[in-house]
Amino acid sequence: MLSYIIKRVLQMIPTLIGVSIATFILIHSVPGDPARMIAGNEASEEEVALVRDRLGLNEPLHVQYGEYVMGLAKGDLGTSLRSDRPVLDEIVSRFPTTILLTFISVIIMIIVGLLAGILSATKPNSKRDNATMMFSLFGISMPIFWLGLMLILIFSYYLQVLPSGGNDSFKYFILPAVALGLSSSAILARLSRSSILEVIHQDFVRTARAKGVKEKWVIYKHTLKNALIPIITIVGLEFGHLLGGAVLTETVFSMNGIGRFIIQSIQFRDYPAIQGSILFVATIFVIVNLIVDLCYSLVDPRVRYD
Amino acid sequence: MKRLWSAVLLSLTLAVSACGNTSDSTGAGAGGASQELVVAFSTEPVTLDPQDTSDGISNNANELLYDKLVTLDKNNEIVPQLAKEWTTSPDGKKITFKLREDAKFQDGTPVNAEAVKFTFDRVLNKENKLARYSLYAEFIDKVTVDSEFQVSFDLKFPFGPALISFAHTNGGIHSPKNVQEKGKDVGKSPVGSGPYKLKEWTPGTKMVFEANEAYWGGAPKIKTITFKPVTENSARSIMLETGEADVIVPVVTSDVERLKGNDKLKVMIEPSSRNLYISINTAKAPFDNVKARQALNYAVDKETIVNKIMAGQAKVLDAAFGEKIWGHTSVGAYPYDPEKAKQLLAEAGVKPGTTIKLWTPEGRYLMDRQIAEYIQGNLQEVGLNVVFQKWEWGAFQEAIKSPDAEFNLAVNSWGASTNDADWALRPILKTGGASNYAKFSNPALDDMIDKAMKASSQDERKKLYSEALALIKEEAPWIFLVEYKQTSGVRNNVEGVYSWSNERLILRDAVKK
Repeated sequence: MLSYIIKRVLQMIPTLIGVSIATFILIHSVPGDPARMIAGNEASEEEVALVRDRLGLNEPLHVQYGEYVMGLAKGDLGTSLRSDRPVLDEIVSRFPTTILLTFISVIIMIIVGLLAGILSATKPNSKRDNATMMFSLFGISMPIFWLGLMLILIFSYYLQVLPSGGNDSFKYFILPAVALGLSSSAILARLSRSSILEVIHQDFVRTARAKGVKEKWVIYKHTLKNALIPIITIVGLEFGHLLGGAVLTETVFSMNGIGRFIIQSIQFRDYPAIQGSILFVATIFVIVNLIVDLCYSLVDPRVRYD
Repeated sequence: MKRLWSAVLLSLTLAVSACGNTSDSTGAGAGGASQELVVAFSTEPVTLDPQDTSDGISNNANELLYDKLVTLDKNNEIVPQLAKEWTTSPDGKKITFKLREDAKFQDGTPVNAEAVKFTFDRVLNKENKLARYSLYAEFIDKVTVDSEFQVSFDLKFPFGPALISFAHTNGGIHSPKNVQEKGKDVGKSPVGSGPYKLKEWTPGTKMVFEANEAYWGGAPKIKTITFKPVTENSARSIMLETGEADVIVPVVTSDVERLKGNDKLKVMIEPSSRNLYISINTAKAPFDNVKARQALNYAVDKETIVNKIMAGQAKVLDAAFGEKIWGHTSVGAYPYDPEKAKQLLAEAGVKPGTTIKLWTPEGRYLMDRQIAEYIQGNLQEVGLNVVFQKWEWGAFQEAIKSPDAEFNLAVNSWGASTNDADWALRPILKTGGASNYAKFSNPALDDMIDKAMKASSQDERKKLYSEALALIKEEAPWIFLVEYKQTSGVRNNVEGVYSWSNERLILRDAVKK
């Protein structure tokens, strides 16, 4: 097990190097000039040149990449062109918002999605099943920013019980987490339904029923446990997805998280900030994937990492 | 299963209602908050170093933190601030300021001639690579300390807009002690002599200013002012409606009518020096022909743009720059006359069905894409085949500056931040100007712009600009569209908030009841 973990951690290194090169090439091939963005629309060519020089953007690309990698080796993600602050500080100050939002959303997703999946799978093709699946189809097709705006309209504007935007305290996280959690739970509901349905017709389930095990236990202990592998996979993927992909939610709810930071950095062509935050999100994604893989062996003893 | 569902639902309901009860910042009229003003902008300030600032929101913050030699009043007139009086030498090449003697920086050091010299020497030194270097280096030769409270500027030539350049937010005076201590971090920990000082800056979340009780002009009425970045337009409007924000800027055009109907707040629609126009690429056929350019101006229905797309929150441009800019004379707008347009196009040899390229940024200026789409329709009606392309802002800026840019028409906007005709024309219409996207070159106009810049008599300048505006209309390097209005939303219990026409939101005199 330990050797497996070490191997996987070592495998992360080439992945992340690949991510850093791909990001570097991509952002430099997108048109746009950070010096011009920073100098402003009114700036003369002379002023833009001064800013470009100050930002070190006159160096050839391979020199810039070399400097960036040297910095990375020392744990330095560089300095934001826009704010002149260390990129790592910018990310660390925003990370708690994103991680808290992600956790609450994932919890909502698991509760709602799994329950809906179980409800559907235990009575397939019933009215209950149809209603739940229709609801989840609605959830999948609904744009998340629209759901966010609707929640703001109801809970902030009409009922005035929750704030419409910001991330000052826990109550600011409720609406965005519900918006995110509900839309991801729709995917989970459909997946857990089919996964449970596959297991529920297997022989060991029939045996359990024949032995007189209560239906509740048949579902929770025998079926669900065996249906968990694909469910854990999708929860892990969604977790990673939410970490980097809460962009729209963070924008609609004016939350200061990584997603909005990435968007803002792209708009300003803030190269070090884009590189740093994408690398950061990629690292987390890889770690979450590792954890997911390790979880498999916890829920299913047939999975071994030797 | 049923029980489980009801338990989940119940706990969710409880959580929501519990949060509602403890909510302190939601709900209109949260009591006892009169000491605090929350202002929501579309983004956050970038830097608090006035000489390195090029964006409007940073400038709004700098207006709280810093004083300048002179400033503008509510009516955009130049009035004393740190300088109590000033004189200009007869040849117009030297300006001497007498400073008030009771002003102190927020770190307790005195505001004196040394500090003024220090601030301007810093921006004039090219080595410091500050973003507003050329705004001052263009005309200031050297700064001299005459006595403790008297400072004079030797100019390279008599510069008409000199005083207005000192009134620009970029002319904020630093505490030399702070700059020496903080070095390049001065933009994050500023010290000026303004009525507010920086208390807290959580990047991306908020920027908090607290009252400078020792302010020479008297302690400000509001104790803390908080800037919040709220990107989403409708979220800003809702924050104003629920009272989470006291002031929002800007109010998106589509929300104005709804907000006007709310008796707890007011929507302020103030004139702006920002215009919107379409640069016509004069270096490329068919629009190297003046008749073809004039035809475009006849083909576009400006009134409908103002009334329908802008919902009345704009005005048809009656010259290359709007009436709020010093030096403006109305030369009249081209009337909407599609028949005349067709005739002129025919005279210019432009055949019906000629393909032209129209570029626009999206979301950068109020209703930019929508206006461009409408104009596409206008131009197709007079027989042109318009290929429409919308751009992300960063890519647009780069594409349009390229010497071999392929556009025929591009949507542009200019907000002359000095509020003076010089800055409203020189960078965008003089040959080789940094933002002359029309690639327009007219020696007679260049000559007028130069003469007006260096003339020391304001009357002479005004006359030159009025001739220049007439010439620009005739030459039609642009499709002249509209001058914008600035919209801000303010809760009814807030007073004393106003905007200068150069889009600066002035909060230092705000009062909350």
